[in-house]
Amino acid sequence: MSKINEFLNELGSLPGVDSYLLVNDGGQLVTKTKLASEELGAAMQVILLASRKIQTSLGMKRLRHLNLADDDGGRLLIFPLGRYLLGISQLKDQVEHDLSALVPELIKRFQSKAQ
Amino acid sequence: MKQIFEEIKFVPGVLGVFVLHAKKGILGSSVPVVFKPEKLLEISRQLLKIYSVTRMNLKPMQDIALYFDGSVLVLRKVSELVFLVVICEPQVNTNMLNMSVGLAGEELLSKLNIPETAQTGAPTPKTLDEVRASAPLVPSLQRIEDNLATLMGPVAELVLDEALNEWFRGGGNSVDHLPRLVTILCREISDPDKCREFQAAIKP
Repeated sequence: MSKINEFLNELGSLPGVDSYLLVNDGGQLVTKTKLASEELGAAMQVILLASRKIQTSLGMKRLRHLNLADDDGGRLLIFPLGRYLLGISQLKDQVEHDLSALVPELIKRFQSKAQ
Repeated sequence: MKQIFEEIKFVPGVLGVFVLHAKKGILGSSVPVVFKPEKLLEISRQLLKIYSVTRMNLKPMQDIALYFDGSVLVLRKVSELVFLVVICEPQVNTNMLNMSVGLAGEELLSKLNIPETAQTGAPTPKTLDEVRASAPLVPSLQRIEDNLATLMGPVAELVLDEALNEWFRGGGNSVDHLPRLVTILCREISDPDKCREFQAAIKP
C-alpha cells in the first residue's frame, strides 16, 4: 500500500491536479482527496463498463484513458490501472498542463520501480 | 451533412465521423466500411450511456474522448440531443480537430434547425403527456382547465384534450406556444365576449 501512497502523493503534486479518487474493480473507494466526490467512483465504474464495450466493438487492444470536458471548462480524466480505476479532476484554469501525458509517465515510472 | 463530414475528415488523422441523435439514432455518417451499422449503433449506445451517467451524476459534458491504443473516439455535444462522433488515429492534431468539430457543430445546428432553447438546459418534452406534466406549463394549463370548466361545464375536459392534441401536433410544447392554444380554445368557445372573458381569466 505504501507504493500506492507514494504514487498518489506524487500524483497530487502534478501541475493542474485539483482532486483525485481511486476505486477498485468492485467500485469501492480506496482513497480520495477531500475535494473529490464519492459519487464519482460509481459513475467511473459505469463509464468504464461502457468504454470496455466500445473497446470490444472497435476491436481495440487497450483503453488508455478517458478525457471528459464539461461545459464550464472543467476536465475529468479516468485511467484504468489494472484492478483499479483512477479519476482525476483537473483545475479549470490549468488545462494547459497535459495530464493525459503526465499521469501515464508517472504510472510508468512507478511500474518500472515495482519490477 | 456530407460537406460537414468532408471538412472534419480534412483534419489529418480523422478516419470517420457520424452524427448521433439521442432519440433518432444515427442521422448521417462517413466512416470506413469496417464500421458496419450494427457496430456504429453499439458504439452510439455506449457513448450515450457515458454521456447520460455524467449528466446525471456529475455535470453535462461538452466533450468525451476515449483513448485506445489504436484509435481515439471523440463525442462532441452539439445540442442536448445531437452529438458529433469522430473516430481518429491516436496522433490526431487535437487542436485542429477541436476547431473543426466546433465549426461543424455550429453548421449542423442550423442545418438541423435545432432551436436555441433546445441546445442547453432541460430537454424539450417529447410526448403530449410529458408536455402536460412539464413544470413550467402546469400552472398555466391548470388555469386554462379551471376557467374552461367554468365556461363550458363537463365538456371542457374533452374540448381541452382535443385542443391540446391539435396544439401539440402543430409544434406546441412550451409556455411560449400557449397563445396558440388559447386561439384554438377560443375557436371552440366561439362567442367573442366569452373568449375575451376567458383570456382575461387565464392571465397569470
